[in-house]
Amino acid sequence: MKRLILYRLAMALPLLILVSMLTFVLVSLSPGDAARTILGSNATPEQYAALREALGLNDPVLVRYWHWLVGAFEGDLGRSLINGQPVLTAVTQRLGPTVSLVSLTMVVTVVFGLILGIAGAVFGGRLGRIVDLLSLFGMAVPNFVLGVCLTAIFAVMFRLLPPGGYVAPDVSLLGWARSMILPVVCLSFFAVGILAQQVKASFSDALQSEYTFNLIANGFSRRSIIFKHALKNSALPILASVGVIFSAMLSGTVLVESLFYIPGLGSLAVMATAGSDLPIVQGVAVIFTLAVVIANFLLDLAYGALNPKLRTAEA
Amino acid sequence: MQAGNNRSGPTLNRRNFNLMVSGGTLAAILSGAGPLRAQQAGGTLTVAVATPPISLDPARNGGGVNEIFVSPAYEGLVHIDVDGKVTPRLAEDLRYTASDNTEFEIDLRSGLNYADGTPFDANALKDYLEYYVRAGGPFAATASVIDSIEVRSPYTLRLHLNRPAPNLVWQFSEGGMWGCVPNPRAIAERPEDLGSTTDGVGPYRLVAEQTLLGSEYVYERNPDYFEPESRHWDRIIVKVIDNPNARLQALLSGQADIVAVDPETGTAAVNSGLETVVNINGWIGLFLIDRDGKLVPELGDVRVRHAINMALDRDLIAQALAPNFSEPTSLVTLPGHPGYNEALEALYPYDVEGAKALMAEAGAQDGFALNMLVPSFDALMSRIGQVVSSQLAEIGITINIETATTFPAYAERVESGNFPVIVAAWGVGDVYSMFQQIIAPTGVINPLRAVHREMHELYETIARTPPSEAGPLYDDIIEIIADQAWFAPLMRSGEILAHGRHVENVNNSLTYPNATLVEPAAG
Repeated sequence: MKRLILYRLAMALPLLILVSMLTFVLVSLSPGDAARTILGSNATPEQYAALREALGLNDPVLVRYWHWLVGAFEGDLGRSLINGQPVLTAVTQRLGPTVSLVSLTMVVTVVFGLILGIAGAVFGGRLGRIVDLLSLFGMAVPNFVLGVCLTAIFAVMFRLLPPGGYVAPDVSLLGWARSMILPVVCLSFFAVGILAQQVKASFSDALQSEYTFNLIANGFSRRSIIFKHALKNSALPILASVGVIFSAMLSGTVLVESLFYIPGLGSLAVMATAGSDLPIVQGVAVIFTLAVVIANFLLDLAYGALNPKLRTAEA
Repeated sequence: MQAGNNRSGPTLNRRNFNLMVSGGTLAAILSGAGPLRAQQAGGTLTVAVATPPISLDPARNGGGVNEIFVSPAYEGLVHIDVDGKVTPRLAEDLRYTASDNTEFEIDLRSGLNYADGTPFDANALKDYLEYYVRAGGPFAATASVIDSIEVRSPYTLRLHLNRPAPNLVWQFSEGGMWGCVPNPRAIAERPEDLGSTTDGVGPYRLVAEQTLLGSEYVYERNPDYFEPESRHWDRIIVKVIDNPNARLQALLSGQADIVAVDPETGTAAVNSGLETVVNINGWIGLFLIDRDGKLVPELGDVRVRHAINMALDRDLIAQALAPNFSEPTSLVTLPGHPGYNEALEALYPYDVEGAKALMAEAGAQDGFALNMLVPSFDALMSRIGQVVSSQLAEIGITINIETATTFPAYAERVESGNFPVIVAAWGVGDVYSMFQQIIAPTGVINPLRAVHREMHELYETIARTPPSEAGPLYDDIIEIIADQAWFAPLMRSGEILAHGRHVENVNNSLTYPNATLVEPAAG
């Protein structure tokens, strides 16, 4: 286990550097730049050239990346090229909405994915087919279509929920919950579908394995078999897909935050990318990468705890 | 330069019209809404617009759509209303003191202070104008016309210009941004903070801790404002929601009181029984950039440019793409603006056969191909690009549409001079200022540096003629521009605002509802 932790930590740093470098280079290669964003096209070419120089945009991409990297190691993520706001402020201001969105979505995904998947595997038959159908539906409907439909029905037609925006929980807990319902449903729909399928498949395998027949033969209760033995044995593939779903979900926030105009990191990334505001894009990329690294690290720990082979290998 | 969601300069004498909509379904839609605004002053006004400001710093700000974010905190020296009427605000008076538009004097209102007690005076304005050039914002070059600034008394200063400039009254309005004067101490000590906070003497102050740059801007009354009774609302919130449907839904669900919409969602708003207001403040069409035929030789022939203008069915385009919110036009100025002449609208009737004959006369009967730049991030201009290419195909011109997906990319490619034709929207603002950008040999949207002798002589003459006497000159230059067909304007249109009935007086704005001066009042 110690080796695993060290390995993960050792991998995190190169990964962060690689992702930040790729982001930097890719955004730099896209047409337009921050000077153009700031000046529009009202400015003279001389003015544009002067601003590019002032913003340091004339240096080679790798030199600029190096400056950024050195700053980042010193804890300085820089300032927005456009409005001068410190990147750290911009990112922390918008962390709350994204954390709310992602964590609530993960909870909903895991709870509903497990319930649907287990129900489908245990009861089989018509219920199993219904679970399959729901999962397929979840996977097939793009979340932007779903989001528009949900808004039209629940926000505009019945006016039960706000069509978007974000209310901080310290301002109003109820307002926060209401503002999160539609985005969370929208973002978790796909994930619940995938997870339910995964759970159903692993659970069916577990329920049809030899040890389950043994347990039944030995008179173990149905509840004990399902929740103690089968769940534990099917946990590994489920955990693996939770990790993948989490990473996909982070990219999903970009669209869902724009759709529901939630002022989170995803919408910040969209805005900054459109304006070639590299320091902000970098800030968001680093946060997302860190989140993925940490999530995978936690999953590894859980994996290790659940997998007897790993435990004995370590011992 | 304008691109749909990035319009600049507000306009003088702008014609606007209200589309009062019958609200058959309004009651049904609003019945579930929260309490309507109180009758008396106070409360919060929430406005949703499409794009955030580049910066809150008036010197680094793009004007136009950014005005709504800046003017609550700064106001202007004068306000120019939709009919072109100039009202003094932070200035008591301003005037040209030389007959050739090279000297300009300003008397500021006295007794105003910034939040920290620093006085708003002639020195504050001088510091700001110097900073305006230094800060290098989008319009910094406009201030390079100022040769020196003479402080004549604590509240009076005179600008000496290095060339004639007939548009200074507009420059000092809240739209022109020269009159939005930040605290000189902030300019001296922490100019970088002006991008994310405000420090002015206007009616409101930005509440930085409740503001999320790029998403939501919260303003509260400035307790020191000199005319508090002229303000209706205690708080103004400006939300940025880039999707027009989401903005409309925010309005329908009561999250916003006034929202900017595009022609499509505007029609949906009308159908939902909401009220809409259009301020016609600009035009959309083709810029035939390659007037000298440097990239596409055929375009150098004025007959080919006439043919292009005649092959476009403006009535159909306006009616199909922006019904209710646009009018067909073939001119670069607007009714009520200098140089507008309705008779010139008939210069290019839709006539495909006539256009083909002109093409043949110019030796282009076999047609030719050209690349046209379309800002695809703007839905309306995207559609215009497609319609135009199919209509021009009728006279043998093959259009290869190239798209720019973001404004910076669009601006860069416009200026590259690689495109003979572009689709663009232009907020007319002050007509002379527009000429500086689109026809002047150094103009940013004249990247191939085309020159027409007579047109440019007139342009120079306008610069040094007192604005009150320049009318006939504008008439002449507009006629030459139309005759030379440097452009193929298609429709005039502008910001469309939708709102519920609980707010009124929304129409009196320059580009967006100007929350500082002509405030929408609770109905």
